[in-house]
Amino acid sequence: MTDRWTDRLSAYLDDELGAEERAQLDAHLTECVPCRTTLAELSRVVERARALPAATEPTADLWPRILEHIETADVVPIGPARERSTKRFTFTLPQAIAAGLALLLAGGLTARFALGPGASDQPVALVEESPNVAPTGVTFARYQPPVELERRLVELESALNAARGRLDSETIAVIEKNLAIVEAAVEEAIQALNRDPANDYLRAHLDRTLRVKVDVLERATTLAGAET
Amino acid sequence: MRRTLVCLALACLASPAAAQRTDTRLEVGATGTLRIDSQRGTIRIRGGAGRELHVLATHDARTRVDVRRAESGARIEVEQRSGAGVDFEIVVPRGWAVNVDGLQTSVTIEDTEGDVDVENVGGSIVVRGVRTARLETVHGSVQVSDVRGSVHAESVNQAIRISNVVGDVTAESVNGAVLLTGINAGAVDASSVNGRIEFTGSIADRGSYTFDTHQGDVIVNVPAATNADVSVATHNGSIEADFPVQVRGDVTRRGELRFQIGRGGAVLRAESFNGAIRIRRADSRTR
Repeated sequence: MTDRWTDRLSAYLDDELGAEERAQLDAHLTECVPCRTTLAELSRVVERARALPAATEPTADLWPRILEHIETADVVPIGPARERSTKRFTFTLPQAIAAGLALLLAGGLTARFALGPGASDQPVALVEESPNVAPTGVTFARYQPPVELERRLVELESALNAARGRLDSETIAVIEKNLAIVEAAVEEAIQALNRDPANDYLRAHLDRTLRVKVDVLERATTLAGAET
Repeated sequence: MRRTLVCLALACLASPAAAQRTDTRLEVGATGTLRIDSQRGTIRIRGGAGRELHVLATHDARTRVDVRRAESGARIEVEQRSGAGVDFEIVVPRGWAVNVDGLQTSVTIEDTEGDVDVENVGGSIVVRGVRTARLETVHGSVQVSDVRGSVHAESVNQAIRISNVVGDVTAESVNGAVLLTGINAGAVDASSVNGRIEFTGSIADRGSYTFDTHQGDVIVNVPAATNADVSVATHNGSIEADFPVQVRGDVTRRGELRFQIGRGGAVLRAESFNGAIRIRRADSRTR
């Protein structure tokens, strides 16, 4: 069951509760399995957050050199030159970036790079973990979502699990289908970002897609009347 | 035999399933808000001349419909004791705001010329001829047209279609397409996860236009005379442009290309992880 303590668990973990409220929640935890489960999940998130390294500076940043190769001409026409022309020119962005990478790799350069949490104004953390060497010799970083976002997702998922019985079966099926769609998109974006950690678009896209998941969960928990 | 038939007829009349009508007419002010809360069935609301609120509700005998004046206008509440829905036919004075809270309810609102706010779970939402629209559903579709103000539309599982709007637009779906046509707005924000996004409309020189999806194409049809600073990004898709596009060493954000249409000015961002980005001239006849 979700209850009024569900949204106090984060404050409990952060030691932000007053003595009386903490004692009440302690007592509640002895008899509420869902809250204990949620608390354990939140604890794992917090522990992982504490284990994150401080902002890690990249040991080598490929982008300036890629850009240098892309920008060999001051102006690169990629579309039709005539004003009224309706002819289209098609290209893919990965092709352009891959071309730049190929130029670098052809020179025998093997690079190792990772982005730290402070590398962008987007609240996304990338940490190096069990280096995963690609055929190109580039070492990838592993994506972890922002801790606050992950914490919110844990809270909402817990609240939805507790309150799902209040939703009709059709709505639950629709919510679960759409959460699966979002999670598949998130997974795909994570894999892409792990292969290309310096890609700002991928990081922003991943961040937005995770927030869609939060939105869907918030909608579902609101419908179920759950407290989050 | 005759007695049996009479008994059956009486039983049918007394049956909870037998349809009843609640017909209510209220004299109301020129302005106000109609609030209606109905969990199942259909709601059709249209704007009318004069100052009469007319509510015709068809429901079973176990359902009670209460129509009453409220401080801000009028309120309709439904006490549904069975699974059967209520079908409403409502006329409100033009200019009235309408606020609908539904569950498995199909909602149609036409020519009320006021603000509209609909929250629903299932059932479609169709709105036409209003001032502003704020529409949210989980697994119903949303269709909006002829709006002279802002539109905000959300559907988790279905498509959103918005047309002929003079006002800012936000539209969000997870598993549906977002199709915007005839949009004249200073700001448009359309997103999906598993659907395509298509926009046809004008671009204000200082406007902001954002189109974002994960799985699906993004097609932006804009006039030839558009002035916009465009940024496009895709991971597995392609980028096409009808416009003469030049990249001036301005690949400033990694994974993203930026270029200018006309003199630049408006902010136009189009992104799709797996789909194509197509920036088209609206007068193009090639496709």
